[in-house]
Parts: sequence; C-alpha cells; structure tokens
Amino acid sequence: MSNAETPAGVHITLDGVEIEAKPGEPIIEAAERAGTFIPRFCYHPRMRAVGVCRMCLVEVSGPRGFSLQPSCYLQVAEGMQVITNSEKVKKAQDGVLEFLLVNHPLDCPVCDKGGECPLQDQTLAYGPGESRFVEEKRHWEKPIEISKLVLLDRERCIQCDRCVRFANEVASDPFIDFAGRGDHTEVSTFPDGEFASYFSGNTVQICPVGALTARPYRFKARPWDLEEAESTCTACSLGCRMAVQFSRSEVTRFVGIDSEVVNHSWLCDLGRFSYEALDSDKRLTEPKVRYRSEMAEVSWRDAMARVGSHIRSFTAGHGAGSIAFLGGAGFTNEGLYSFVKLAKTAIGTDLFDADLDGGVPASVVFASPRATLTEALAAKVLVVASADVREELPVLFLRLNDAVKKGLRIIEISEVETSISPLAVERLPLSAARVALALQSGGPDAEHLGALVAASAGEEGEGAVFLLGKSNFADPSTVYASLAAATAKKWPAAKFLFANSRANIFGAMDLGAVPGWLPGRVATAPSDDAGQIIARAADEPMLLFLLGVDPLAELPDTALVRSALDNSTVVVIDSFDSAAAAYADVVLPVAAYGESAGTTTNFEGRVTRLGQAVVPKGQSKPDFLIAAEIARELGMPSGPTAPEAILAEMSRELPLYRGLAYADLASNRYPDGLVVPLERKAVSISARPRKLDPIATPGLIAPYHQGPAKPFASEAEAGKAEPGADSPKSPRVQLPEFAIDPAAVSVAADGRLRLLLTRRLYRPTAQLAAAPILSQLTAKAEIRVAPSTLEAIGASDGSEVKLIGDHGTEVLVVAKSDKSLPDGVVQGRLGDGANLLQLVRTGTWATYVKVGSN
Amino acid sequence: MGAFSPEMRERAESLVALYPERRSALIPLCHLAQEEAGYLTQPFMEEIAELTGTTPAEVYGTASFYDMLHTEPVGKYLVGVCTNIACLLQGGGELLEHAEQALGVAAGGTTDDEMFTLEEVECVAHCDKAPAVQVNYRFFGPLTGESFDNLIAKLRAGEYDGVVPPHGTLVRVRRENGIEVPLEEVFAERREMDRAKAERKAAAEAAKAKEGN
Ligand code: SF4
Ligand code: SF4
Ligand code: FES
Ligand code: FES
Repeated sequence: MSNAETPAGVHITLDGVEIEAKPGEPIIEAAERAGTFIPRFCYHPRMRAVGVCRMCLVEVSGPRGFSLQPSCYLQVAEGMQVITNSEKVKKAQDGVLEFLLVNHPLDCPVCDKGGECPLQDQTLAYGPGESRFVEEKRHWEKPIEISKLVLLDRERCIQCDRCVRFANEVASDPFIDFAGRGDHTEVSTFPDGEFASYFSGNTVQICPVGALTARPYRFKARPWDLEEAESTCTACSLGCRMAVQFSRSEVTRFVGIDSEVVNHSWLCDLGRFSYEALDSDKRLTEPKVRYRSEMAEVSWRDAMARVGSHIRSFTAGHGAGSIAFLGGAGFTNEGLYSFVKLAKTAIGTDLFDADLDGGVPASVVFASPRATLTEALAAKVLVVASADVREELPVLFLRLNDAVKKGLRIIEISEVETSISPLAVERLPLSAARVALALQSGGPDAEHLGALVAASAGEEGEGAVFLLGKSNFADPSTVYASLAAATAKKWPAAKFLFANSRANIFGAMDLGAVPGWLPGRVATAPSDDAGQIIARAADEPMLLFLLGVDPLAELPDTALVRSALDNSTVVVIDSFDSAAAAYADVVLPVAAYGESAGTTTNFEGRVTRLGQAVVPKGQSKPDFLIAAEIARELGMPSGPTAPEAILAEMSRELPLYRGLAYADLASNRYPDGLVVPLERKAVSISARPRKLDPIATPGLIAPYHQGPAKPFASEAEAGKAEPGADSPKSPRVQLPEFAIDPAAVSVAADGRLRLLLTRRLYRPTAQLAAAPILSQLTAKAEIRVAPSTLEAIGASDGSEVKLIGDHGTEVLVVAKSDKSLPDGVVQGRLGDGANLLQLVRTGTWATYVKVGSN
Repeated sequence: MGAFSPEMRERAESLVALYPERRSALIPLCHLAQEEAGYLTQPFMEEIAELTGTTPAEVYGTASFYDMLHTEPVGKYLVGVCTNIACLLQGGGELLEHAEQALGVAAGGTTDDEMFTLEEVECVAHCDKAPAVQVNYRFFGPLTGESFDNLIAKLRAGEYDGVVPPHGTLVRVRRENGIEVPLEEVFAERREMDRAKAERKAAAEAAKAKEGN
C-alpha cells in the first residue's frame, strides 16, 4: 500500500488518550493498533465481524451517555469516547465468561487446546475466578467426525461462529452450520453429510476452544512442548507462509501464518497435513546401491563413489550429453542452484528439466511482466485461463473468493466448469488452443474477449492481469506458450501470473533447472525436455538423475518411461519411496520438508525462507549438500555448503538475486520474503509485524504477522530504502514467437473425442501415499462426458467404459454424465485406479480417444 | 428423483421465484415439505437446498432452529399443551400430566400408531381459554382431563377432519390462481427506493464536502 491510499483518520479517545483511527474500522482494531488489547472470541481479523460472543464489550459514549457496546462490531466515529478498563467493563467480561463456562466441560487436561486456549487464557486474565454453577452440564456424544480430518467435541463449543463463517464465507463450502437453538445449539453437518472441504483444517486453526481438532494432531503433543520454525508451504507454488511446529525431533503440525500478501493465515488441507508423510515408513532414509539385483544399504561414501564412477564412465563413454537430471521442483533454491551448477558446470550437460508437467515454459514466464498476487487481486480485471485454481493452487481460490466480494472482476476461460466459474462475470467455454488461435488470427471469440477486457482495462491491457496455466494436461506446453505469446501481443501493458503449480518450479526456472536456461534467467541453447530425454533414454545408454520425481507417475506413455528406466542407469535422489526407485542403481535419501533450511520461490517470484525444524531422518541429507558431495567426488570445488552461504553466492553471481540476503529474509522487516528481481516497485512491504491478537491463530508461538497489515500514517514509509533499491534492472527477456497450428482445434470427424485431462488436489503422489490419514482422500480417476455423449456410447452414469488412445492404449475407467460439458470432449479427471495419462499422444497438438462401452 | 410431488414442486418453484434472493424461500419451502410429508425428511431438505441454492447443512441448520419445523417424524396430530403462566394457574401442568397418561408418551414423544405427538408449549396467545391446547396450530380450551380425552377420541375418529388438517398443512384454502405478484410494480418501487437512497447519500456527501472546505 502506498502513502496515497492512506486515508485521513478519525479521532477517538481511548481510556482518556486521544488516538487516530482509520475511518470505518472497528474499535477493537483501532485500540489494538494503539496497544490496547480487548479480549475477544468471535472476532477474527480475516472474517466479517458478527458480534456474537460479547467478550469485547467496552463502554462507548453516545447521545444517552456511556453504554456497553461490542467493540468488534462498532465502527469508530469522530469524537467517540471509549473506555476499556472500567468496573462496568470488567463486570461485563466476568459475566460473559461465567456464562460461557456454564456449559463448558472441565476438559483442559485432556484437551488438545489446553495450553494455547483463548478460553483458558482469557478466563485467567479477565474472568471471575470462581464459578457459581453447580448444576449438571450439557453432554454430547464425543467426538463426532465431521470430516475425515476434523473431529468435533460439541460440549466444548462456545458458538463463536468462526468455523461456520469460515466455511460459508471464506471457503464457500457451507457444509457446516449451527443446528438447534439455545443451549441445544451445536455445530453440525447435514445428518450423514460431511464437511468435505479442501480447507477444513483452517476451522481447527481458528476455533478458540478445543471443539474442533484435527485427527492427525489429536493427542500428539502439548502446546508447551512445541517449538516452531517459520517456513513456507511447498505443496504447491503459491507458497503459503506457515509455522512448522515440532516436539523433540518430530514435526507435529503446521499452522498458517497471516501473510498479508500471500495466504491471510489460511492453508489448504493438503499443505497443512502433508507433514503426516514425514514420519512414515515410506521415507527413504539410507543411501543404497545395487549389488547384482539387490539394493543394499551402504555408507554415503560408498554411494558417492558409485555415483562418481557412473558420471565418469558415462562422460568418457558417451559424452556428458548422456547424463540428464529430471525433477528438482521440490528442492530448495540452494539445492537447485547446487544441482544446476553440478550438471551444467561440473559435468557439462544441458539436460535438466524440473517441469515434468510441461506447463507454461520458462521462456514465456521470463518474458512476461509478472504481477504480484496483490496486484492481481487489485487489478481492473483478472483473466483466469488455467486449470481449476482450487485444485492446483488451493489457497489462491480463497484469496480470489475474497477479492471478488470486494469488487474484483474475473473473466474465466475454461472448457469445464471450475470453482472459479461462479466467481467470474463470464466464463468463455473455450480451449486454450482456441483462444490462442483466435487472438492470433482474429474472429468473434477474440472480439468478445477483447470487449470483456476492454470493459474495465485499458486499450493495451493496462490494469489487466492474466493468470495463465495449463488447463488440459493432455496438451503440449506449446499450446500455452502460444496463448501467452498471443495474449502479450494483444495486451502489451497487461501483467501476468502463471499457474504452474509444482512446489518450487519458479525457483527451478530462475535457477536454470529447465531446458534452454542457465541460472539467473540467462538463455542458452535449447535442449531436450523431460519427454525427449525419456524417449532418448529408451534407445541409448543414459545416466538419469531423478530429483524427487517419479516419471512413471508423471509422464504420459508409461511403457516408454518403463523401458527408458530399464535401459538406463538411474540415480534416485528422493525423500519418499516411489515406483521409479525400483529401477534405481543408486538411491540417495534427501532431507524432507522441515529437515533442512533454505529458501523457496513462489509463483510471483517471491523468495521466502524455509525453516529447519528437525534433523534429517536417518542418514538423509539436505539437497544442496548432496550436490556438493557429488561435485567433490568428481574432484571439483564443492563451493559453499550452508544455505546462507549458497544464497550469498547466488546474489553475488546472479543479477537476478542481487541484494537478496538471508538475514533480510529472516528478519521481521520482510516477513513475507522478497520478490526477485529486487526492483524497487516489486518489493512488497507488508507493513510491520504486529505482536498482539494471539486469538486470531491460537497456537502460533510467535504471533508476529497476525491480522491484516494496515500501514497507517508514519508506518507506511516503512517501504523506504528496501534492499535492491539500487540494483540494476535485469535485462528484459524477449518473448519468443509461438504460432499455434489450426490442427490444435480441429474436430475429429470419425467420432473420436478430444481428451481433456484435469487434476484434483489429492492426486496420487508418493508423498500423499505416505500420509496415513490424508491418503484416504486420494482422488479416484474418472471421466466425464456430456449426457448425449454418454448415451451415444451406450453407457450409463457411473458405469465403466473403455477409452482407446490413438496409439492403441486401452484404459478402463468409470464414466459420469456432466451437463456442463460440450459434446465431442471427454474430461478425464486424473486419479487413482486408472492411468489416464497413458492415453496422451505426445508430439501432437491435441489428443483424441475412442470410447467403447464395456 | 425429487422428494416433492410434481404439483408441490411447481408450487415450490413459484415460491422461489417470488424472492429476489432464492434462499429467502427456504422457510416457506420447509412448510411445503411438511405439508407433503408431515415432517422434513432428508430428501426434502436436500431438494430444498437445491431449489434455494443452499446446502443441505444450511437447510438443516435453519430448520432445526424453528419449533414449527420438524426434522424428526411427528404424528398426524401435534398436540401442544400450554404450561405458561396463565395456563399453569388454570391447571395446565396437571393437564399435561393427564395428557401424558392418556396418550402413553412423555412430552416430546409420539404414540406408537403415529397419530399423536405431544409437546409442552409456551404461551400460544389463547390465555383467555386457559388451560389451552393446540392441535396442529388449531386452538382448544379451556380443557379438563375429560374434555381432553374427548378431543383425542374425536380426532382419532376423524370427526375433526374438516377442521384440523394433518400436521404440516398450515393453510387449507389455496389461492385459485396461484400466487400473483405484480413484479413490475415491485421493481419500480425498488428502483425508486434505490434512487432516493442514492440521492440522500449524494446530498450527505456534498454537505460533508462543503463542511470540509
Ligand atoms: S466449533 Fe469452535 S470455531 Fe466453531 S463455533 Fe464452536 S467454538 Fe467457534
Ligand atoms: S495452497 Fe499451496 S502453498 Fe498454500 S497450503 Fe495449500 S499447497 Fe501449501
Ligand atoms: S462480540 Fe466482539 S469479539 Fe465476539
Ligand atoms: S399462557 Fe397458555 S396460552 Fe397464554
């Protein structure tokens, strides 16, 4: 926020002292900024105030003298006098607490919340100290399961409405509500219904008592035994800020941190509960090498010797071009930098591809002026052309949902209905290829889209932001490159965000872990991508390094991948066991999330810190150390081996990172990290941390960034003299020409259907499989077709059909009817049970399949 | 397969059309469902959610709040005995006890033959005939134990069939021509209100601006 937006204040008197407040803000906020904490339960800075708990009553002056008013609900007004510490207020607080405790059980010793409970804490601080209640309390059956992840102990509930408001308003998943009345009020799902939300864990996080608990954490730890490390979620590329909490050497839970610019304290359930996998027996913990046909645990020294001899013999026998690195998007920036340096300098191979999805390519990402999330949400119009945001970058859906309520205009381009469709002013049911072609050669679709954008943005696209991403995982990435190129050409002043969702994929791009690029967004000669590398590996001898990926699960044409893995020498560097590990000659265990420090880059280019909570499990080592040790094995200088030092080298060597220092990221001054390159305007200051309001996210040990950042008057100047203010502008990358072939939109005349592949949040991955509770939610594969198509193939809703790919692959899968789909298309939803990726025809503009009833 | 019969579904849809916000029709639809099934079954709540653009959980949450909406089965006759002050003074307490004996169920219970559900109710504004009893929201009183038994017997025998409809039916007279709303008039009125509001706001802002100078 800039100075210009800071509105003129109103003046109120708080306990006899005059303070300045922002027009329209509730008293509770103004008081908090002035350093006076008013107790509260129902008020949450990220949700609509409802004033139901009455804990925040204060005396407020009015035409008839002072009266008790809820300070969370009442807005400040010029000349208002507020008293927060009178006898009357104290009596009201006593009363409210005594009533709340009437029906609250004495569960504290066995309650997860005990020790971090707002009800406990505020009773101690503001309560009467003694209860006069001698009657029998309420009893409910306990706990009840409102979803696979969340349990509810109803007698602990104080009816603050936080969970219900979150479900209804923030997540738009209104599957819980208050039922009953008076002392029979309970939070309830529909009888036999479920609180099936991707965001259910947030209700546990904000519940001010122990009524809602998370199954994976229940009875795992006591709050006073927990320590925390500030970190960033890497389950997708949004990079939600969170605290990793741990007890002794075990990660016990993740808690969302309120970052103004990223996640507003929310996390999705996949991110929040992914720690479950860290302690599973599917972890790789020992280095292993293959002796004859058996894998044997060996020392790091022996494993390294084997890796070193492989590299030497492949280089000598087939040239460095026979060595390739796949994956790495799950690694830290420091690990990626070290591995890219190893590959491209020490070994001398160009073959490195971290983006197995084949999303929007780096050449387009670098050439397009990137928006920050804040800019995108404040845009005049946001055009979303990507796969379903809620499935790919879940918390981004929450931010969009909120922004739309505040006036953001969204135009959606999607062939299928998504979670964004109800938010959008209009959905254009067009494929990415069709839009690219339309923009390239004109026509009614292009005109229509043009008019929609022009309705609120400028001629050249000023004020418009495009969120572009792969919307059909059967498409080649060239479709998306063409779409982005055509869009940038038509709206040269527009800004972009890209929805490639793999963890640190943008860090991987920036650090040259993608074909055609060197670290620091420096172009080099084009080289093979993952698909081409695999195709080569099936024919010629190759040494493949798999960096935390399983190409069997991720690339189309499983048969080809299998023969490639069979045919090559494979080094698996991963934290989790996968199908590909069965083909390994060497397995090197890499430290998992929370086990090593470093940094990560999100989809805006925002670099944030990853905190180390516990020591690496077993013999596993941080990614950057493994790269350094391989380099040393090859007789090369290994360079720095601590994350701070590696980042220092990066900022010294690469203009992209100039001015970026680990100490800055670790300071409270840049709680939300920094967007690279550090051009002045791109630096987002999210105001200064506020230390009050421990009630917003109970359980956070250092509640620094609680609540929306509200720069006010002199605070707004905190944005001065950021690091990098004087750093050179990094050279602008030219947008390559991409032209789309009309074949990409041709309709098959012979009754074949175009395949449209989409993913869901709980897609089967090695890490999800390793999480005992979360894995129960793994999505099942299915296809959806228009009712008429379903009829035409002679199948019924829910029956199994056979899909036949162009190259003869057959897949059996359950078919569902979906009214929102057009004819001629089959939407395949990837998941467990059927490998729909196998149907994808690589090297063509679009994939077609035949459907046969079973 | 919907829970509403085609005729009721049509009425439901016309009710939904009456409101600028679909969800406002939620409670009227609950009454329709009770008219059809006697109480709110899960399939009905699901269909109401679909009709009003809400979720079943929200319908259940709302329905469970109101005493006149039932999410558990109720008998054909919902018998409410008032035990509020006026009735209590006139023997409402004893009458309730008698009713429990006579029907063989405690307050809140339903007889095995699913004919009667007994309720203890707060003042139903029939104090002049205390102690008062309501059967499906039709009033009787003052009642003694004997006249209560009489009433039950008559209900059982069907003698009140024309007067007391089965539980769920609130109004027996249906408008011949459906519900007609002069939408044009309503919209015009709304527009006028919006305009006046905007005018007031502009005036207030102008005044403020002047003050500021
Ligand atoms: S369950 Fe927790 S968050 Fe929900 S209403 Fe009860 S106390 Fe509030
Ligand atoms: S939205 Fe992405 S970054 Fe945020 S919690 Fe979920 S997986 Fe993690
Ligand atoms: S009423 Fe203000 S915090 Fe609950
Ligand atoms: S007190 Fe019973 S009807 Fe009023």
